[in-house]
Amino acid sequence: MLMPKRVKYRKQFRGRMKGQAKGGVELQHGEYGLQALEPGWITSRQIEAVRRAMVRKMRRRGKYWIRIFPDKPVTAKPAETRMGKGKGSVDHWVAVVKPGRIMFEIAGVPEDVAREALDLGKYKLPIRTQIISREEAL
Amino acid sequence: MSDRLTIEAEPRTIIGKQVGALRRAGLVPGVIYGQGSAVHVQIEAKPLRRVLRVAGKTHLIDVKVAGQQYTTLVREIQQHPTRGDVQHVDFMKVDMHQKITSEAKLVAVGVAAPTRAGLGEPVLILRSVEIECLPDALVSEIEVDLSMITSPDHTIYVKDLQVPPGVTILTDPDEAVTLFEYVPTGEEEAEEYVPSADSVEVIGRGKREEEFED
Repeated sequence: MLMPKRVKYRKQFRGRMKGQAKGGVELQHGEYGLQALEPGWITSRQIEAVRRAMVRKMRRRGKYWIRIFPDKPVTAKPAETRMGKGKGSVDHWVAVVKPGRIMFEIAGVPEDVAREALDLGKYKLPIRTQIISREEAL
Repeated sequence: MSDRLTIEAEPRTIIGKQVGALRRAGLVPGVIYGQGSAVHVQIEAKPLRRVLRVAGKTHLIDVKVAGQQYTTLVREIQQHPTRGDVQHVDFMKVDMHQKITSEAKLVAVGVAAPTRAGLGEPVLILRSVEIECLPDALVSEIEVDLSMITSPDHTIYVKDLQVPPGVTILTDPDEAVTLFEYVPTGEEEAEEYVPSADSVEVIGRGKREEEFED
């Protein structure tokens, strides 16, 4: 699963997810892509689940690109722990996604396969998404 | 060769953040620049979208503004990230006697010999190339003939592309255009080792804090 190799600080504040994505809003490599329509945190497990669903549908033909990276640590306290005693330990890693962000791209497979693969990937994510293609760009 | 498309535009007096009102009224703000002073224009969204869909950034467009006609090429289209609405268009005036640079899309044609043999398929890894030519000779697409590929090791480079007369490719000639993708062998992916989320190395202040806590 995706996570940073090393970080400057172990824990982070939650932050806010105001507005639209500033970058990564256009298809860069592939013919089809999955675009976020809502802000959200995408965990490394969810990214891996989407990747596996897509690869299985594409039967490992063609190419895919993951355009987000989970670089934000999320902490959690162990179960049945009293409050206090400081912030919990890092539990998992998330990618912060804003509306407009292209999260996954696919190329080298027929349109129907690409759309089905991205459709399967959609169900693994906690936010609303849409499939976009180069042809429909305008 | 490029065909000319025509679109009507009106001169625009509203500039800056006020253009939001124009967009709400179904108009798209734009600018015509190059060779002299720039002209701010506003264009109806629907006809503009129709023209842009055909012309893209590779066909010449005649923009008529207050009795004047400008021969232009679309340089930039700003779109809303999720809705896809056209928010602003940059038209660049072109001199028909001066060479211009533009992007040409690469399109795969033909079938490679290894594909016929069922070994796999070549995939285009380069989507477009930068070209230089006179505005009249502009092309929107350059064909990549996959039948040139005789074996899976054979790669098509930019220098192998066939371009119409009068067009020069500016992209590095040694850049690869295709990559051969073999048919997957069918073996399942091995379960990968998943390190714990807390095992990431910390550089800087965070680490000292942790040591202090311990």
